Amino acid sequence: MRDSAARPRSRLLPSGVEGRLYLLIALALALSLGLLGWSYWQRYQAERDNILRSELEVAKGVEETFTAFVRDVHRTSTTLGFALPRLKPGENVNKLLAQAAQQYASVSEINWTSPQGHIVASSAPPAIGADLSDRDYFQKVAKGSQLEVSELLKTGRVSKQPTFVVATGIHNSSGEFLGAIVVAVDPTRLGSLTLTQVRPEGSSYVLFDSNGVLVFRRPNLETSWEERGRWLEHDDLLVQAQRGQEAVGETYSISSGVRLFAARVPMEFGWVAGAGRTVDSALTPIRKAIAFDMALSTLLILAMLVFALFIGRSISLPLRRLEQDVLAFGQGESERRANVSGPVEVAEVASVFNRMASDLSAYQTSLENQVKERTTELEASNRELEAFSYTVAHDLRSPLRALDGFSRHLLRHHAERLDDSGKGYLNRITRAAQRMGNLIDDLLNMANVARRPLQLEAVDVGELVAPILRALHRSDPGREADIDISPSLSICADRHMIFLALEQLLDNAWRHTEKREIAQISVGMVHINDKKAYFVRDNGDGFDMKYANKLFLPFHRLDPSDDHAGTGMGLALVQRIVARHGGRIWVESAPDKGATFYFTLGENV
Amino acid sequence: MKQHEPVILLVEDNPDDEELTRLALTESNIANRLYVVSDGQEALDWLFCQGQHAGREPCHIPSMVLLDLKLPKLDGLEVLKAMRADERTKRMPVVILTSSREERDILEGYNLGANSYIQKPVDFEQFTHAIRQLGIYWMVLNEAPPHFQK
Repeated sequence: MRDSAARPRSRLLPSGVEGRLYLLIALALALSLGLLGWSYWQRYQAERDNILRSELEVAKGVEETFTAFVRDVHRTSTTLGFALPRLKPGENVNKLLAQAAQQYASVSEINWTSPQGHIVASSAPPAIGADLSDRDYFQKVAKGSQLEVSELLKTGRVSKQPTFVVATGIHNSSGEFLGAIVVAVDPTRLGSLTLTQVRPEGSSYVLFDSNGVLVFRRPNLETSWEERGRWLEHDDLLVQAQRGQEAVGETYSISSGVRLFAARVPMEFGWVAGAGRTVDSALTPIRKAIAFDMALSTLLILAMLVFALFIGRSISLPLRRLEQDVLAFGQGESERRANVSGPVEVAEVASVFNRMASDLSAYQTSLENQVKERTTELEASNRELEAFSYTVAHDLRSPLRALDGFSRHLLRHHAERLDDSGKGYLNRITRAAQRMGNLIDDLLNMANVARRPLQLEAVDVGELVAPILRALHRSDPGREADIDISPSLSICADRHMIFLALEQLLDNAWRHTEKREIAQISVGMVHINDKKAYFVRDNGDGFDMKYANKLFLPFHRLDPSDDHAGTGMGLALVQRIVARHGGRIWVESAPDKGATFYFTLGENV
Repeated sequence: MKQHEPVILLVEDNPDDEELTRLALTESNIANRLYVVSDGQEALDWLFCQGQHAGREPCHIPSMVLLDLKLPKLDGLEVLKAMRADERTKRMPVVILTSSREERDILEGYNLGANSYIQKPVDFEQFTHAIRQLGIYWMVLNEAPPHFQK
């Protein structure tokens, strides 16, 4: 059945309430997950910005500290430069330089050079005599520069370790170059005094020289000379800083091979200060926080989901129960009532349905009672009718029989004592009695046709009408008649009723062909609009078609004279019989042209 | 046993019908002995020589019973039933003679063992004809059951 009523269906939406509820829940879930993800992303970005900012601060600190260190060394060198040109190189000068060098943990030696670049005095005496005139910084100082910081040198002239120098040019008041103070710095020792900030795990700070070579890193790493030089290839931030811009972002550490959040700050002398923190160590706290938050959110969402499903079921279950109850009621469980539960709207619908169902049941019951009552009444009236028919059949006929019988007896056995008019009256009495007998018969037939159940069977028309035709011939033996019955014509009908109908139609034809020399009557069947139409045709008087509709009314006679002595009931009876079979009867005729009565029987016969 | 003259019993309450039947039989020349009773109970009493007809002499049995259906006291079908239940009248020819054309009457009549069922026509000629046929058939042509020949 699911004579599924035409439901509007959407391709996007599930068809059921439950599906739609779950879709709603899924949408809400997706939205909240999206919002959550977005907020985590925001937190992550904020944290990243924070880290980068703090790395920039650290890098700036490194720059300031290192610059301050260089300035300090320069100041000391300048002070020494006032004294040294007036002193004779020798043991005393060397001691003076050594005392100055001891102020700085990272300074490995301080040398005093001649204007030609030869070391004339040194905190480390073995260096005396070394020639520095080929060094860039020396050449710049010799040309008048006050302060020069060298790039990282792979080996110092003395220490054989990577070293850089802070060179100060010494000039007299007239600007003559008197020599240079060259302070050699061991970068590995810078961190111990100068850059002492404590940094969290995974963070570092660095110094690059003007060539982008790694000078210093804290915490210290064993780095080969080649590796020190390769930073520039990978560190875009470093490249940017070398061009004079502060740069922050993510980069890649050559020495440790991990990703870094880093800041690079340009310095004087073309150097770059930097600070960095491995991405892992930087993000660990927020990752932990986010992981915790996510776990918590997931739990919350799961709880919400369970709750939402529970709510969803609390809506969909009552609806489904309601649907089942209503369907069951619809399929005939008239005692079934809907469960009034669930959301108020559903409960309201259920209770309204229950009221309707009760009303409907009440209606049905009263209707059934009414039908029962009516049936009983009908049966009673049928019984009455039957009793009436019985009485009519039995009791009304007896007096007629007496009228007829005794009139005939008088005519036959006492005729000699009657004159002609007396005989005429007796004949009238006899005819009247005959007609009334026929009327009673027809009335009873009418009643019978109305109440008898139809018993359909295939009836052979020729066989059926044979006794009728014999009776007609017997009633008027002198008449010449040509009666044609279609051979092997069969009709599916109630035998008794169709007999009565054909009897009436043939009787009618017989009576109306009385004046013809040779009466022609035919019975047959034609197809009209694909339906079988049976007909009885005669060549009798016929009639004007304007009376055709009155023909089938009871007691109606077109010709009131006694010529064709019918009761006026015959065609009404035929019409009733045809109607009982679900068929239709009509007639075609014209005055003096005979008449053809057609009838069909219904679909079911 | 002495052979009796054939006798017909007519069970009829309507005097007109009784007279008509008598006339019809007379015209057919078979109304030698016609006994008439007017209700069902009297019919049984007459047949079995009991009640008001106790001691009826001679207590002979008719060759044929013409039985109307609509009768006072006991109706025709009840009379027929009682006759068929009794050994003496079990095989006696009974012709139901009635104005009823009710099918159930006809059916019931045959079910109870009526030998023939004649509807009384209004037309006296037809009635006479029917009676004559009956009389000839049952009184002349039909061989009576062995009971009657003893």
